[in-house]
Amino acid sequence: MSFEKNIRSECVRILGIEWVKDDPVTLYTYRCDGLTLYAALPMGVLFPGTVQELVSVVKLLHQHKISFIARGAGTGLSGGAVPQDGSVIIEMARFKEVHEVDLINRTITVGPGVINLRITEHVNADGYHYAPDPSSQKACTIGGNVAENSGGPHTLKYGVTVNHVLGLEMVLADGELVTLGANHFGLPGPDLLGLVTGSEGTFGIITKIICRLTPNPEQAVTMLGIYKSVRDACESVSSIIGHGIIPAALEMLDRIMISAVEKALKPGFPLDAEAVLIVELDGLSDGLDVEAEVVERLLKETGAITVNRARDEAERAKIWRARKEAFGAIGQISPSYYVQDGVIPRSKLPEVLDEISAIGKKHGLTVANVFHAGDGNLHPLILYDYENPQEVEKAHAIGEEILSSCIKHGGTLSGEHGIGIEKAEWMSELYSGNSLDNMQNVRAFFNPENLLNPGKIFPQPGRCAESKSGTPPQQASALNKPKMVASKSGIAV
Amino acid sequence: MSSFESGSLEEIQNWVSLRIETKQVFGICGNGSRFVSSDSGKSAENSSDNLVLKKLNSTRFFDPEDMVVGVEAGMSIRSLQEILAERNMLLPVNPWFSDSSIGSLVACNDFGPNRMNMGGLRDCIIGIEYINGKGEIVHAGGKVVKNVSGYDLTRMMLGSQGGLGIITAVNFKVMPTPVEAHGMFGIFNSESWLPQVEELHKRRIPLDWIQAVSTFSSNWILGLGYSGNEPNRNRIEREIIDVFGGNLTTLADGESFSGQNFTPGENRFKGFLSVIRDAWEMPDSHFHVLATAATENIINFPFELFRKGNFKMIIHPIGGDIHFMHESCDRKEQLEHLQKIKSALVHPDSKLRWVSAHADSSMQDLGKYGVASGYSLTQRLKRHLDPARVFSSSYYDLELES
Repeated sequence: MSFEKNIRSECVRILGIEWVKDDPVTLYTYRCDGLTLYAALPMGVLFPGTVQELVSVVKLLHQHKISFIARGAGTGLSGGAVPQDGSVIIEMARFKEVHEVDLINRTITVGPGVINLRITEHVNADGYHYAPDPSSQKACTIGGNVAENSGGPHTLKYGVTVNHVLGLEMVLADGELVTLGANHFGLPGPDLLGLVTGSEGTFGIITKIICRLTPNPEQAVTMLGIYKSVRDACESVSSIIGHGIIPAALEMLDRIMISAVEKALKPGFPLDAEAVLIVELDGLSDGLDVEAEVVERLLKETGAITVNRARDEAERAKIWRARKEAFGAIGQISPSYYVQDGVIPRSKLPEVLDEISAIGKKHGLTVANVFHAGDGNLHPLILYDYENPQEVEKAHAIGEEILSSCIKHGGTLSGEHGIGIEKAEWMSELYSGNSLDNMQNVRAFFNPENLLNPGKIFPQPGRCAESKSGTPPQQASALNKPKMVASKSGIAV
Repeated sequence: MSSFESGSLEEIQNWVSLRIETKQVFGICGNGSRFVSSDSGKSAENSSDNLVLKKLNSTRFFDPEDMVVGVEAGMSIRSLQEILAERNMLLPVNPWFSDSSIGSLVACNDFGPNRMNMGGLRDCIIGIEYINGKGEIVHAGGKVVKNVSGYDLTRMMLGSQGGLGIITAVNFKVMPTPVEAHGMFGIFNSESWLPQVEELHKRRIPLDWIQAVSTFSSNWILGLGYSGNEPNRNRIEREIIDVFGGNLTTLADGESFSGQNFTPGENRFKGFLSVIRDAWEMPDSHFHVLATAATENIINFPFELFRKGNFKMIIHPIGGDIHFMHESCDRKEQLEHLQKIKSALVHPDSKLRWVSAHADSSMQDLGKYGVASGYSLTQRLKRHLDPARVFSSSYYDLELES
């Protein structure tokens, strides 16, 4: 189906000429998301501005059996917004209205195009914030966060997106508008809101979201443990949790990451350390120092050679900037990187980190680590030169071996980035045929013709012998994995 | 009516598969504690076949260091809490009946006052195993605390009330038992505590739970739970006293308030049961409805009207719920009580569930108050996932006026 011949004029009639794009520059811009290893040009890009406009274009695309993908800021890291079969991209950036702030019920209702950090900025003066804080929070949209069930450093204590979304409105594949949830939890019936969260845009396009607001902590204490071994830092993590203390965040950087952030951001991390552990406690100011002293003692007992406490907000901000901009800092030491997102049981951290290091050495590439230690959510960054095809291949091989290691140790493929294209083929390694078929059966309910974000999450027929995809053959044959391209990743996430 | 009871997953799967093949409707029973809404319970009773999961009660794994546990659906919440308590951990869920099975709690999406600060089942569930509408054993989620690998079918099954499949095992992330659980309790002879709770809420003081119970003497017992180290607790107590004055009694966990077995920690529910349920000798057919509503709607709810109408209530005011109980067992009276509650729940998102009622009570009595938004979608999902129509659950059968 040609966008130009059959659809374009209808889209222009619905949206207006300025909100329908299919020029080469626009198509190139929308060819990939934050994972630049995969790219494909869309058929066109639409910019609806109202729910009614969105419903109309979805009905039009559904009528013509043209696949489509909702896209937020494009910061995703699993290729979830790649239009691999020439899908139409529906850009949701214009849905950036804050509809309602309800402080007594601690909710805020927003459009999906609102940037994550803007929510917190909107209510910060009232003493509240939106808790999930992916490192891309300055750029990523709340709609994308819901689609991916995003996390962030502070999810150890506060939970991920699904724990902070109370309700939403969305347009189904055929243009039907539905509402799920409310302004409070505890509704009867199956938790379809929870099911939709993290469905990677394959169930519908979200148009409105009711988010929970979390009271700002009265005080935060941020500590930095310095270690001579990663294993010791992992011991500290276990010790803190084992003592019944759940910090707001427990984040670790290894020696390579320390080197990169020191070059880029100069937070004052010692270059001779093998690991640093960021521990943040928060809550009422009364008693926080007592808890911090306990944590400091535990860190030292488990091998921290030094424990530094941020003395003021500026020092705290410096530490967090180093953590949240760590991916971008890799540019100081490598032309590009490929990041993984596997999760393992926290107790397996030392073992798996050793394995990751060995995998990198075996293939001759460096792997840096910055990760959510408290959750066991790893972010190994495989460093490679995007102009060297052999290194690109090696980066992929290393990524696959890391995922294999995570599964072997009882973990999972992704903690917060989603499956997208990147890890779709791995789903049959994680789940049995029955379980995977069962998931696809749920997709078939929401998305029977596979028009919504096709080719994501599940192995594609013909590319994975084990796959028993329910995708209709005529649809499946049209799906081709997008061309793997080597390009520089520059998005700080 | 016949029952099938087995501790073997394979036997259960075979039994279910046969019913799918022959399109024979059956009900599901956990430990028979009947927390499930009376309507769902009734569906099971009306089925010619019943699947009893009580013997499917093993611990699949417990990794204290990773704070995750996986158990089979027939295990009681009491047994699970005992296992966790040995390692000073808990699942922050306090069901009405401690013998409720894990499967039924998940199927009903149960919660309790701890949800205010610690989250409910929705925030703890990380993996699930169930038998689907094709008779297959399927898994979703896993054993790790963060997971976005594929669809979150754990949450789809949460609250599914037995209508989308047979839950056979559940994995949870658990949490450390709160440090030094304390509480402040007071008796009120009016609803004067409501604006004070609102003020405390506005101050954003991190309490573990707030619970108000109306007693037989038409008073309210208000409890405010909190935990933490001594300076932390002292601060919270100062804030509470600042709002409520000095009329509250401070207790540590294990100490009892007013001789009525209300304690701050995990045992506090004994108090509610002894004061209300046991003293009342609540028959199965007494009126008991659970309402869930937003904080604002609960704070502004006309409780006085109901207290004077001899309703007994348990209220979790923040993001919470209200248990309405009345000793009436008469169907007509119960419908009048229900209508009174519906009229007072002014917000359309406030919802109701039967906990117990006259045998003729049904989902239809609750009407739109008994179902969540997106109900039509839910009904269609049920038809898609249970094509043989064997999983009995009246939640999905309601006909709403357009």
